[in-house]
Amino acid sequence: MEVWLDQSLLSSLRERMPWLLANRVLKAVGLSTSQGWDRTSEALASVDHAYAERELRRFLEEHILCGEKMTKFYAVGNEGRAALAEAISKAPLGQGPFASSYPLLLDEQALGEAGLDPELVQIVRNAEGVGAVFASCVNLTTRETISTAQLDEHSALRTQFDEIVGLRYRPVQLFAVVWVHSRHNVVEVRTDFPRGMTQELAHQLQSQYRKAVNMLIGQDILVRPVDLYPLVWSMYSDASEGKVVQLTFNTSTGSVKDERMRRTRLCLREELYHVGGVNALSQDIQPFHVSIQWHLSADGLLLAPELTLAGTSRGAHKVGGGSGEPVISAALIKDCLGTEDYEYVSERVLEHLRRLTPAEPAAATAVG
Amino acid sequence: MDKKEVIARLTSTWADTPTGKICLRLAEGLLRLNPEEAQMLTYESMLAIVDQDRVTPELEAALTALTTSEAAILKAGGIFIDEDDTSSELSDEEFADVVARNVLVHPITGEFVDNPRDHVLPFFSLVKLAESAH
Repeated sequence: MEVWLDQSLLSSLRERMPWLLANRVLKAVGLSTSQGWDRTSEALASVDHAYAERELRRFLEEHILCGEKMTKFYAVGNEGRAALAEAISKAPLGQGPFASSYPLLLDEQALGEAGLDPELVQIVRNAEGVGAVFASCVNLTTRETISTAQLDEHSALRTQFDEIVGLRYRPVQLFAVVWVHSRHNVVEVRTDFPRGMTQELAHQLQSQYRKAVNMLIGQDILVRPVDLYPLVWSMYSDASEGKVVQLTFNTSTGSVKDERMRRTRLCLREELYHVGGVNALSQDIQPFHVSIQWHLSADGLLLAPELTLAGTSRGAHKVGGGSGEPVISAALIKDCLGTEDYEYVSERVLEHLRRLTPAEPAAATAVG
Repeated sequence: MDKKEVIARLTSTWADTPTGKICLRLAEGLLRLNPEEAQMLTYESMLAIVDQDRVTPELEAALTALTTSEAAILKAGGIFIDEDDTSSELSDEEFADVVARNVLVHPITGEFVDNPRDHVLPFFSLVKLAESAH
């Protein structure tokens, strides 16, 4: 029996995955790609490839769990994690369109009819923990430039303007994951952070899921995310930790620098200009924003996940020397294909948190 | 091929031509650079080395020679910078497509970029040469 490649599977991948990653995935499952999504979709419209379809579905599910995420880490003891894992395991899946189509994404029309409220669509269990996967819809605004040459030749706008900027409101399906680690005293709240989403909206979504978790379990188990600000220096100064591709820092000489590596596989830590500047000062630079990329491989696939810890130039201390809310409450983890590279980055974050924790916490007991 | 061999080849192939003179001047300037400082040289870098204020056909020809001839010491590449100021280094194939056909697929959206040559920063990097024999 022929099984044509599910076009909604391709369109779901297109909606979520950066082309560079998707191109690699399509080739890895044995499909030929053309230049860009349109030509590739056309070329694959009448392909019979059951193996590819199964594998693409797996990649899509993994990307839903791990791709293009804002992640907040919450310190939660054994009892709390056990209770949350149990509550998640018993939670009923939704009955709405998000759940019935999972892992496929709804098209724009169906999204408009689905409503905006989150729905539990999947519960995931593996050796690393247990997670609840939610789907929801938000309206994202994108700006597009419209050339006046595209307008009707009689339009008065053509003489008045050279370029017009339009705002497009588009419903977008997002996924969030509440992940209870089995081996660490940590619960992660991961929310999709696609291109075009503001940090403000991303933090609002995070807050929404934090409250939902607390309601599910009937207690405030997730209160304040772990402050990741100390990891900026910790990870920047560890030369074995990937490649620093961006660093923003204050200097004691009264400037703020934003340095980015443009060439791949080069590290700012070793870059002549950066090293020269750092060595010219007797005071350490004060980084508050770092992006680090790792180069890994798994099952023949090249993986290049990137972590960003984005603080502000105000730093960690207020007037009077005190510190308040977490300076960096979230990690941005992007360019992950799935659990392999995402968990690598998450483990590196947890490792640096452990190094910075003054007292040894009680050993985590496996839960879930 | 070490530095001496590079200069010898350029001299024997291009001697006494306008392109040859610029080519040699450029090669000598590039070969004096610390390799770490030659990871991303732009047209501005080249103009400074040959002390010119604009790119001439002879300079273009010299760069072609230094990237494609037997005495090639440079590798050409490109950085795509989109409207969000996100930059990504192009693969050799992608850069070749931009140069030859003005075609590029956006690495994130997967859609064709309109007139990509306007959005690609061309650069050159010094290839690793053999150490000179003593």
